[in-house]
Amino acid sequence: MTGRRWQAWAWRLTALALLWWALSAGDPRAWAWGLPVIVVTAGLMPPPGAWRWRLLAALTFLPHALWLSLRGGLQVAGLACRRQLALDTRVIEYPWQQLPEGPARLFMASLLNLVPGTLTLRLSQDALHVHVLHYQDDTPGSLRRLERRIARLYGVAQHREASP
Amino acid sequence: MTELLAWFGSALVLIGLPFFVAGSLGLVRFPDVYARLHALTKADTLGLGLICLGLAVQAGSLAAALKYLLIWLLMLVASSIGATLIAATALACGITPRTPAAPTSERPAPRRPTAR
Repeated sequence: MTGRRWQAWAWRLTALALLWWALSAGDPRAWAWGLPVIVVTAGLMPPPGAWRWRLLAALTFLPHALWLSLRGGLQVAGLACRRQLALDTRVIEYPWQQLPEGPARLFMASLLNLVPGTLTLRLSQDALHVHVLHYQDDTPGSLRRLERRIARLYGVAQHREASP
Repeated sequence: MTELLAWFGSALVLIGLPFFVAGSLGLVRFPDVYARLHALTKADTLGLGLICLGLAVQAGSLAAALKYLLIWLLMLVASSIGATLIAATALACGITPRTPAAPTSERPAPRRPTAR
């Protein structure tokens, strides 16, 4: 138990030090302020909960998220520049299938805003209300695939599928 | 090599700029608040990402490059969460999303007086 706590502290201090280094643009004099700030911040951060990203899944997820964001930007820019605005806008309800309540759902709701064509309107207990800018037949399918990926990212896929 | 990187960075910045224009165009042209949020979050985020990447490539040090990427990351989080907050508030205020089936309903239809 104490080993894990030390590990968490080491992670925090490393991450915060890296952050400070970037913020101060590598100025060595800035560490005089930085070190106390880093230690105090690390002490104030909430303890790590059960929700954690799986490292391997995160490494594959990041390029996928960037790719989705790229496609999202391209699609909406294309739609905005079209001479005739022909939008098939809809509001759909996406029932949760795998993700249990908690940070994973919030993460998906926020990510949807960067994904092509979707905007989260409301999070509710059993569904996500999504505004779709230009509906395509594949829209619900792509939401399902995204949820599956996020479930894997948080490591909740297996035991949820085992007990539906 | 440095000159090549400088050219590459400038190219990324130039590619990023039209996305800001497209985002602003969407803001003017799209029919309602929800559709406009699409334009603002997605196109601007991509534009800023390309500009930050271009500046990071040209940055003098690794720390400065990391700072540009950090700016983009924070903007990504802020614009994404902000979009949902605005959309949820608009929905709670009774602004119904405009769909092709109901092209003119900017606001919900006035409630019919109910018989008591």
